[in-house]
Amino acid sequence: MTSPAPTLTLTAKVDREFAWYRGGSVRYIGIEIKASELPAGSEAPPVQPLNLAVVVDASGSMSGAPIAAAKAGVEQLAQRLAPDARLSLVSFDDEPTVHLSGLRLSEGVARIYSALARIRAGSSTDLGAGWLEGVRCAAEVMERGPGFRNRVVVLSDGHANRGITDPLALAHHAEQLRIRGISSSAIGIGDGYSPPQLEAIASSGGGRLHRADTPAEIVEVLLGELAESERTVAEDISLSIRAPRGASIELVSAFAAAEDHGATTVALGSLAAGSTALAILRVSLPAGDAGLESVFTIEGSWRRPGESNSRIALEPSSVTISLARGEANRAQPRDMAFSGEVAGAWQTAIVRQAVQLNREGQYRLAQSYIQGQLRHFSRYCEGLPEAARLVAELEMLHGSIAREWDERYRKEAELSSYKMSRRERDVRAAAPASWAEAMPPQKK
Amino acid sequence: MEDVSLSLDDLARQSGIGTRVIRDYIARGLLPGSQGRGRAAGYSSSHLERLLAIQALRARGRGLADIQQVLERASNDEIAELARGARAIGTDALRPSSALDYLDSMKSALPAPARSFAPAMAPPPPSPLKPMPLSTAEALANLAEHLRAIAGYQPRPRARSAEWVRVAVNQNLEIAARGPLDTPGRLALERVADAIRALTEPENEGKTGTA
Repeated sequence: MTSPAPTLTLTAKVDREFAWYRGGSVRYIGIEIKASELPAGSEAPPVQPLNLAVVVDASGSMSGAPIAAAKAGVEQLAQRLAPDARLSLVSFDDEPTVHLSGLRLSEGVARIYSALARIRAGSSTDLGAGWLEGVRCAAEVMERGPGFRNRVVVLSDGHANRGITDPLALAHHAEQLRIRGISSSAIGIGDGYSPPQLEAIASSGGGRLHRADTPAEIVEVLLGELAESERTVAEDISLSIRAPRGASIELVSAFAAAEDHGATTVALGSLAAGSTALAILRVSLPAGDAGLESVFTIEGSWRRPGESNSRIALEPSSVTISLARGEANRAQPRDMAFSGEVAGAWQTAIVRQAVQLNREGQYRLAQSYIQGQLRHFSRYCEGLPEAARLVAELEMLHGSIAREWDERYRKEAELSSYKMSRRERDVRAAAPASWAEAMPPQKK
Repeated sequence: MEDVSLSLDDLARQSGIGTRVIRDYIARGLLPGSQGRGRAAGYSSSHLERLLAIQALRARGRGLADIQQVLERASNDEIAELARGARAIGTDALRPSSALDYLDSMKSALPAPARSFAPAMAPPPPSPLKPMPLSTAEALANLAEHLRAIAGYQPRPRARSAEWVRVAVNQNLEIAARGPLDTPGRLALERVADAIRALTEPENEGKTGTA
């Protein structure tokens, strides 16, 4: 029996339903999207053919083991692709080179091997040009006919130092291309890549961000990205949240967000069957009469893989926060389970910011930042089960952030907290279980 | 009685909306289901008009719940007017352009890459528009004129994402406009920067910038 087409449901919640009528209250809204499970015993619905462009950094720093591993990964990946898949292969240093464009896998893998053999490490890094050339190859396949799942995967070990280098520009283009049916994922290799640049491409591009430290991990991550892509039943999931007059919204979770005609839009990426994504927003309420209701309206939409011209709307929802006088505000019940999730997301946001400050050499500022956040965070965590661990981890971070971290630890902590915030799985077998495990050893 | 000879595929083809989305609209009550029974069941021109009206409202960024309210209150004439507007633009124009079109438009719209994506604090380029020394009142009037030009420049709705084009005024100050901008837009932005320089130099020396 073939299962019915997957569906998505949207649920909105708030940690506390009242806010102080004199203003200044901060509350947290959660918007959870759940993809339906495949019924037990049923076959997965048919999967549209994959249109994949792999873009490999061939700058000088990739020479030797990294580029050899990237090539080996693409070889193994090609062996796993279905005969009706399309593969494009682009390498880049200071300019992109197209080695394969929309090759149908049924034409045989020999051309893939000979194309891989032609990739040589060069000089500088025009990441943007390489990535967009890969997008062009995928877009040309799209023009020939609908019904493909369109993906670009970029592998890079360095900072873009030519062409488009601004993460905001990369994010804008990734978003525009995502809207037009092409998702982009990124794999950072080693310690030298730019997290903001690759995160911009992956997060705004509706794809996944990965990291690989060793040649074996490069292969593992490429195959893991393919596996995750094959499990996707919903892609380009987008939310639009409108705040009432006087209220403000700030996204806590590590998704790409933008302002659009007075609404906050959030790009949640894709989901596999049975999985969920949770966007947590911090909202600030203005002063007003007690009893006044602030209604936050939420809409969303998504696409089925291979249906780039057709979006499905989610059932809209809303969250109401009412202004109340002191006693009612203080005595109100709290959604403890959701508050625990808020604490987890908040903690990962603090980690990411602190690690970035450490990278910039602002050690004292990083420490002072954590200290300031801990004052509010520990108060929020009072009474929450499991939250004592979160507070203790931040205190540990506070103790170690005031000295320079090795870049490897910074990247691992960043990626781990990014994935935790997005409820994404790290496909590496040796990935740290949490950002706290990724911290440098404590000095005695 | 209205002719109900359009099939679901006909509706999809003529509206530019996929059949799955049309079924979704029917399930939500945005669109009535097919009329008639059995082999005679089908859709009419009023279904098509309503679909085009929905597309026109979606193209303006309205959400489905909002659209439902609009359609419930709208008269048949108002729905027909929305549909006429959608037909005038063309259903293709109501959809985003293709990825290939977007890539091609990037190539033609991008000014020299180093200027589009220059680091935030790049030194100001030499400007052929450097104004002659002006009185404060003249400089303010000049600035106001250029600000009106850049504020009113972009004919498109504001961009969805946060691409900003930045021009440095001096080492501590820069101005930014939401992009992308083509050449006349960048020129207007640089005129604003020139006007601010005219107002602030040399008094700006020694002041801390806004980091």
